[in-house]
Amino acid sequence: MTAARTVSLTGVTKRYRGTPALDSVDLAFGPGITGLLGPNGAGKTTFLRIVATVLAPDAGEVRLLGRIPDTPDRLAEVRRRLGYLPQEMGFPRGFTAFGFVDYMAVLKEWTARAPRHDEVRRVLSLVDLGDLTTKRISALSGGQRRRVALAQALLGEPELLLLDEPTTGVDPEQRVTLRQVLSRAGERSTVLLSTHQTEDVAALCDRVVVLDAGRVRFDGPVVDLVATAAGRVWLADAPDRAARASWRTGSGRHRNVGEAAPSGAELAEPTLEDAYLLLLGDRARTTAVAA
Amino acid sequence: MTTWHADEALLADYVSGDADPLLGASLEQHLTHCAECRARIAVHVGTAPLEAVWARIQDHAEAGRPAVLERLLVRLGASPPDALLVAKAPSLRASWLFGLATTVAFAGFGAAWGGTHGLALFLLVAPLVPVAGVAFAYGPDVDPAYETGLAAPYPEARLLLLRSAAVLVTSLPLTLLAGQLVPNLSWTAVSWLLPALAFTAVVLAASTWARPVYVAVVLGVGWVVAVGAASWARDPAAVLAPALLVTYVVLGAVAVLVLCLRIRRFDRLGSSS
Amino acid sequence: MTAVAGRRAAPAEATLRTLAWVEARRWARHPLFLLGCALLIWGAVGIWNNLDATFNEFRVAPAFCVGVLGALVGCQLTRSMSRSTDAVAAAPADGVLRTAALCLACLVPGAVGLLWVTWLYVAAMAMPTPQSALSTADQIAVLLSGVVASVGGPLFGVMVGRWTRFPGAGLVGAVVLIGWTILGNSSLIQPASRLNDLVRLNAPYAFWTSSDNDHSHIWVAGGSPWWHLAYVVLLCGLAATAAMVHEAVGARRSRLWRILAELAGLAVVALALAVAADPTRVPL
Repeated sequence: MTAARTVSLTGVTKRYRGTPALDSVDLAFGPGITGLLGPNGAGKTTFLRIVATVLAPDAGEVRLLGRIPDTPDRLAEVRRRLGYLPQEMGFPRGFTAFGFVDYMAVLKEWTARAPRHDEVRRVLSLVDLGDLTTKRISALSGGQRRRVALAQALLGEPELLLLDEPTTGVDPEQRVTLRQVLSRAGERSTVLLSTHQTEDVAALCDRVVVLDAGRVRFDGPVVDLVATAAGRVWLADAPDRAARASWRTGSGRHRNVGEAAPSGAELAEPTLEDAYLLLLGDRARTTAVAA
Repeated sequence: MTTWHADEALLADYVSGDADPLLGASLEQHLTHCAECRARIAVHVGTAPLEAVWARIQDHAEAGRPAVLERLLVRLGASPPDALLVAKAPSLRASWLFGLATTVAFAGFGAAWGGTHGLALFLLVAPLVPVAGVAFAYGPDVDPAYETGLAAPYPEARLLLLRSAAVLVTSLPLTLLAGQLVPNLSWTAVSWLLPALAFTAVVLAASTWARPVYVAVVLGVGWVVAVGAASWARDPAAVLAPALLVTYVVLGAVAVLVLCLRIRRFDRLGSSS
Repeated sequence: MTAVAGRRAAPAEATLRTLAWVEARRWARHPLFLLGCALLIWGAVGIWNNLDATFNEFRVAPAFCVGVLGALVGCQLTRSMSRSTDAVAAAPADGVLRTAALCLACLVPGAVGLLWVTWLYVAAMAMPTPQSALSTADQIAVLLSGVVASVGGPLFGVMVGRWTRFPGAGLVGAVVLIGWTILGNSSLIQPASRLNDLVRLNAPYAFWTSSDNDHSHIWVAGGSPWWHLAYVVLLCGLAATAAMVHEAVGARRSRLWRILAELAGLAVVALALAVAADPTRVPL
């Protein structure tokens, strides 16, 4: 069973100055797209860094692509088959889009020039930057730069693709293109997608993991998480006091998300965002009660 | 209008270059106003060579020529991928090298004509030049894509060592040349190499614990204090006294040992990240 | 929505003042600046008992501690300012205004230098010092040049930070400043002449007293301290203008270039007048 899992974490803990960023996390992933949701400081970035072998955990076992990356050889082997897009990725000065992805390709051991250039062109056209390859990165918009960063993660069609906020700053039209790219990648590889955009998770992922304060709050199919919000989302003409959260939608009516819809209220179709809000709200309430 | 159209044989001959010059010239004229023959000749033209040419043009436009430094490194025997990675170090860029040349020039001229103070400036600057170069060659402070590079299979230690070697090769000879301007102290003109190399090794070794820029700053401040104290006592060259030279050698050796033992730390993010 | 659109743009002077205060606070918190202040205080304590003997040498203290270190601070603050504006795509104040604010903030190290020099002067007045060939006015000019240097070093650093891109440019700037001063003042070893005065006085900091060797009597070098002071003040203006020119566009840019040219011309005149004074060396 674990042989089929690309990524397997057992009891992984990571502390920063005493506070645990990850607290004894047990997770396993296989091929497909898994979404990683959670508030800021939940440990999503730390988690991705550990899976990307960029950070070593303080405790626990990390098994990637069937092996534990503890020796330099195994580490290099694992890194050959993964692609990583960090949350904050900058670009050194003086690179064009092509030049930068080429540089990353060299770091990924594409030594021969011609096949490397072909691969660079391939990934750049995948993210729809085929016309902008010769443009300097400093002249690109934020969303375009993010796509360059995504392109380098796609080099070599990695078996393990780790993406931390890949669609930040990307306009909706381009986001559709990126979703197509990611869903195609998810057919063959294991894709871990950490994001704040619940719509991306809802559109792309079969499975979702919700992290909060270093612990796993939910791990299962997206539909299951959405189902937890069934009967707890309703529309009204005014904000409901009983609701956990309430906001005015474009149609003028108020969408209320809370414990339970009052009887006779007009129920609305719950979205992943509603379920996520309810899940984290539950946590806030239970810790407040416990404290 | 003319109803003459070229036949297949003539078109084929023209494309391969075997056509009679006169016929060929008149065919060219004909082609400029006959779309039908233009369409028919297209079949005869082999696309493979044209595509190859286009691919080369496109590649040249996108990838560009390798930088001067890169070509030089390949000429010196480095493999092209290594040369590319080394040439992209921040402290090997043209602007940095310009700053290096300026610093060394002022330090050198200061040593030549500035008397004791000039010598103090030279002794202050010379060993710190490679330290600064190595500190700015690698690491999260100078490379915004550092984390992404870590997740790549290329060994980080190799990248660091290659870049450090390139920095030493560019900065040391220049400073040695400037050192020739130091008047009548022949040994001082080269003995600063020992603290220079020792400090470089210390920066490399200590960057397995802390960020290289911080280590370089600490070393720099310490050296400033040492040279300042020596020049306050009117003898800046005291920092290169024989007893101290031995200390530098020992320090460098220990640093190299530590570096070898902890070299795998470069593969991961440090605790400061 | 309408309230935001209706708000008038703040006048440039008010923005400049606010920005200058922000930059001044950043300056005062910078570790290198604090180090420079600590060195000054330590130096003051150290020479307290030795005042008349070391009066001549210690005039350089603010120029070095706050001026040269301030070049590093200025370069770093300029760089961090431009880095943060990359993240904020549209900054409300333009580059020239922000650079001007940073230049105004260079008055913080200048204030520290002024304090130190005032202390030195007052303390020296309290102690019996031998009759000096340097008139009181000249002495004040020499002391003030230390204050101007503690403003000029940071301004030079701001200019370097604007015009260069490589890391460590501040260090190069500091070496250039020190090297320029050392090279200039090396002419004190040479016999007295106007040419040697020119070599010495074109540097941003000049030493006015020296001796032929450690045991012979001290003399005052030739040249005019007040005109040299004017020259250094103009150099400061040049550095500030050059920093702003980098950010300016259009008509403002050409105006700033014109100001730069005028300042350069005035600086040359001031230097010429400083050198034109009597080059002979007078025993102290």
